[in-house]
Amino acid sequence: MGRFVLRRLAQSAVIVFLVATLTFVLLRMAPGDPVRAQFRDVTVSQEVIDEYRRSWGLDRSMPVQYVQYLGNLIRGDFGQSFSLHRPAWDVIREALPNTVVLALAALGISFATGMVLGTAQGANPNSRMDHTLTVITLAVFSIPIFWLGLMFMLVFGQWMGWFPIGGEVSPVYRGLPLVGQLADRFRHLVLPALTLGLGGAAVVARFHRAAMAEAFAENFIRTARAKGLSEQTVVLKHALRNALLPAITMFGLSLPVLFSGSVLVEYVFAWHGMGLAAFEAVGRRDYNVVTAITMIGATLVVAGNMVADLLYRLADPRTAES
Amino acid sequence: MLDLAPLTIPFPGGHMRTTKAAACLTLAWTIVITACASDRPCASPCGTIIVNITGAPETVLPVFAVSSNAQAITGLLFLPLAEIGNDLNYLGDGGFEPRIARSWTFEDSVTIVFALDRRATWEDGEPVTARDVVFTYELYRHPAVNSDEREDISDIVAVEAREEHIVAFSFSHPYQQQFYDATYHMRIHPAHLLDTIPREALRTHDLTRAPVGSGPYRLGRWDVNSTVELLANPDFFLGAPGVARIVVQVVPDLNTTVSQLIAEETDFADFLGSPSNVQRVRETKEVAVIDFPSLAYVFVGFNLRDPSSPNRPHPLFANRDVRRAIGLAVDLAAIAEAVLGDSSAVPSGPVSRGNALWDYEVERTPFDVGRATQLLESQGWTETDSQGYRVRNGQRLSFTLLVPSSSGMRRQAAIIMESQLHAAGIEMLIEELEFNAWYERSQRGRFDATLGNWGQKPNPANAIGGAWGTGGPDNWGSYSNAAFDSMLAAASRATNPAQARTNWLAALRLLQRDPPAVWVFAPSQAAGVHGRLQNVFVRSDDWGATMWRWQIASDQMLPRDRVGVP
Amino acid sequence: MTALLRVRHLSTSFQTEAGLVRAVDDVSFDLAEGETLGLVGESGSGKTVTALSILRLIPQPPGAFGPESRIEYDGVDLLRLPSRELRKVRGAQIAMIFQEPMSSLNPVLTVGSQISEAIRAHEPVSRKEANDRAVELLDLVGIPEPGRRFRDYPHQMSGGMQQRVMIGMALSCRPKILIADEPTTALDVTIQAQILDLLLELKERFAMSVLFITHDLGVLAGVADRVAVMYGGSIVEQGPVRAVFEQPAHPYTRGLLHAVPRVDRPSDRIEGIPGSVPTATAWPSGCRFHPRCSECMKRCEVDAPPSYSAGTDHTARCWLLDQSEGQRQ
Repeated sequence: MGRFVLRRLAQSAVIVFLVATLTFVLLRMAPGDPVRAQFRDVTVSQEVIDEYRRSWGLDRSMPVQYVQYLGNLIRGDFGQSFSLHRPAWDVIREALPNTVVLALAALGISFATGMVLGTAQGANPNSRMDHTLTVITLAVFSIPIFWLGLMFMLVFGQWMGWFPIGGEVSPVYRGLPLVGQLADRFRHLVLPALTLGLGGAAVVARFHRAAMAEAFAENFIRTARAKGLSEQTVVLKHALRNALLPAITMFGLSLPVLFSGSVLVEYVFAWHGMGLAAFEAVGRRDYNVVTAITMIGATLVVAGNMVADLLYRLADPRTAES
Repeated sequence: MLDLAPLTIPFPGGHMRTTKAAACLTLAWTIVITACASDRPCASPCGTIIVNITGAPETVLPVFAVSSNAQAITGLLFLPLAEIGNDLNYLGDGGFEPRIARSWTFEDSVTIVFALDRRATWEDGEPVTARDVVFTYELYRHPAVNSDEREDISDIVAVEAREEHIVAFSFSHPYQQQFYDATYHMRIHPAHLLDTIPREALRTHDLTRAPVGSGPYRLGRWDVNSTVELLANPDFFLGAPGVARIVVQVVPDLNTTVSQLIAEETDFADFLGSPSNVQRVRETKEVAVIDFPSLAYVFVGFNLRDPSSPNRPHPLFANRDVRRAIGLAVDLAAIAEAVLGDSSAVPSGPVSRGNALWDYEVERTPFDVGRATQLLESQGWTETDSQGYRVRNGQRLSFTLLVPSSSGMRRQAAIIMESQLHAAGIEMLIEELEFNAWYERSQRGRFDATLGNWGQKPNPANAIGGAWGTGGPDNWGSYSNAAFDSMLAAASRATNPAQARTNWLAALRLLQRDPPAVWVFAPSQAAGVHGRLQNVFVRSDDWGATMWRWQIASDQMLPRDRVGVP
Repeated sequence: MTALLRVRHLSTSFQTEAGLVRAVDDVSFDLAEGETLGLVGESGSGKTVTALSILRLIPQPPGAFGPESRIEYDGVDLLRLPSRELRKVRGAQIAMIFQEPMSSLNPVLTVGSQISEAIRAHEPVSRKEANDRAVELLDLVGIPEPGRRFRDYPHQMSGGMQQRVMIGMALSCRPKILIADEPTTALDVTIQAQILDLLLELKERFAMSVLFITHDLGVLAGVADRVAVMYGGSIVEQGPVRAVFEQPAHPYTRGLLHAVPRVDRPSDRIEGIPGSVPTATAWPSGCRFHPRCSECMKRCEVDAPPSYSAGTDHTARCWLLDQSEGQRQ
């Protein structure tokens, strides 16, 4: 196991390095000047532009910039944000917790809902409930996430007034008592987390239904029943434990999807997380912030996949010591 | 920005009066929301204004503020010597209100002496002195600080502290906009806190995140991606602000902002986006829409140089008559009606609605396909191909328009224009680009025509010269007309407003005859304001300018007005 | 001997896309206390479905039992027992072991926990007690170092060991009846004998009745008290093992005895009888064996033969018995 972790860590380091290099190259290949991008629709003198370029080190040659960039990254220094006049890390520090909260909530919704529906469907294949849920999950799966968000906002935010429309907390959050703050956070989380999580729930349900159905066809289920176990034990202990393996794989695969999906959801719901920060930074050609977000995102995805692999090995004794 | 050679202007009595045109403007677009006559504002600062902006402010220190949002926020924390009037007059000192400066005198044609208000203090209790003003000027001029305003104040040659509260500004030569230049671009910064920090380190220094200002509000909290919280300074020397707290929150999607306005989750947004968004807000009882003139105008800029080899003239647009024909062949009123729902938004030149030049009587280029046809045929575009496009020597009359995909209104305008030009036998291809890519292509002159949008300051001269004057830094199409350049200079140089007007009129009319662009539209802007806010006025250049005087009626407070406010 | 298990007119069918599959058709037999009944037949003859039907391990739907079907255990009809009550019979009264021990054990649970789980499903014992008993059972079925092997996962064991675990699991609640569905077929030849010996030994020790299902008539000679031969979903002949082996009454049984499968090549296919087993979607008319029967007559093609006595406690379904001195039962 220890050896496996070491090998995966080494692989992860290589992946992160490649991501860093690719980010550097792609950003500089993208059209648009990072200095000009700070001055939208206003005229500005070349002198000011040149001074910015010099102070951000953009006047140096590409190889020199690349070496400095890698050197800084190794020291954990993401550099200064072009558009926010402070360390790029400051942007991450504020955005990361918001994204983690949203992503965890969405993952929770995706997997909790998806697994429950998939288990119910897989345990009763071809029943009326199974067919109904199949139609519903396919419908949810095909709804564009952006549209779903706008609909939630309109119906539950604007018309019903049940949940706030935007932001991760109220503007007056600081003045609330502790219980009020928790309630406020929860109320703000509901719509974006549902928007981000429901599509995933549909996918998880579809996959998990198949995994459960497959597990149910296995001989050991017959053995379990022949032992006189209750159907509940058969489903939850014997079938589910085996159907968990594909779910764990799906968990690893869903992380990058979650990150890219969060850009749209964070934009629509004014959720000040990594996705929104990335959207803003790309628009402003804020190289260092884009890099920082990409690196953190890549690290999280790689780490998430490592966790998924470890979980898989824990859940499946057959791979444990190979 | 371009340096415009100004002329001597005598100042009768040392003070200029507000121009008549600017005064009319004020009447036309001032909307003060007064809810109910019985509503009484609180005695001391109370309530909360929640403001939505689309992008995070880059700074809370005015010297580094570039975006309009950062300027509005820093304007609530820091004061200028004098505040420009709501009419945005920039000639002489007409309409300007005292702030850090309590009074001023025009000592001679190149010197203005300001007497500072002795009541003015920094948040830490230190008095605001002449030293701060001198420091501020040096800050703005310093190359390493690299303020984008430093060109605007280049005609100020010296700022001297004569006494602790007396400071003198010297100008390189006499001109009408001296007072505007001395007060509009700079907000006074605290020397006693910032002077010791090396200038090149200032931009990212920790102190810039804990600003000490002298304005009606002080910084409560700043979350870089999401919110800036401003708290009223009850001891503000010009009187306590009306509202206790302003929370500025970043909401990138205007649809979300509109929904938040309707759901009473936010109080103010200076921009609502598309006409349908504005309509949604208009239909909401609790929220008022304030229309005010925007300081921006949209244009189709022609490239007069060949995009593939800039030393050669453009094969089509080097020809003045082709440019004029295109202007005649598009029905701008129809475009403005379709895109903005306002057919009166057609400008007479590179002029925005918030600009005094808007009211100058300059003929708009008429919609006249017959005249366009005549002009094109006179240039040899006589034949027509099977698709109805004009042809000369086997070459179709065709060009490509660059459009930034970020702007829905500009994209819509381009599509209408395309079909209108087809009717006149002109093929216009549309190339949509991401904003930064569009900007780079335009800025490098790699285009036939580009659909641009320029914002202006109250004094439009620099922006107009920069975009359309010979060699201007933002003259993307390399337009060059010596007569126009000299008229522009003469307008700034004029000895009195009448003379300035004559020159401006001549310059604008010249741009009709020899157009560097089609002036597409100059929009109004609509802000959404919650109905319980009173005494609301939105100044075109700065949504925060009068916010410290806004009030909330004590009997109309929402629960959130009081949360966390003592 | 009194019958512990009484199967009467058992018909099990499946609704499939290809139509109704009548896998088991009107099967009746008894299993007496302490008796071993060998159920023999080729693949597709319905013997496994018969075994699964006893504990209602047939998924319903698509499976269904005919209205006449009855499976009486201790006087109670298992087919009409509420599932709660049925669970008390499964494992505790009637236990079952299967052909492929590898796939019949849950790969993600330790073998020990799979045994102790069976104990805890029927008896109010603590986890520790159940675990201790599981270790004892592992020891009983001949697994060395049972305390350590308790924590093994199935994949860490050989096929023979796995089947020993299955046997231990089946015996965990001391059932009255053990249904062994081809318990040795998937195993190496050398292991097969060991497992058979183990089963015989434990049967004696626990005084169980055994329903032993196999395609290998040869195996039954040393194991079974009585034999039932299945073909095409029905029992074509049953009787004491000696009588069936020495005086087989049905041509199919005779064919089977002629062609005892080669031990070096385990196979479910019985060589020596021409043709192949018909499919359950389309049984032949008349006697289902008639297309392959060397002694086929006209009436065999039309009418299905009833059960004729072929000696003491010995019956067979064949018109040949009617032609000779045999008389209808």
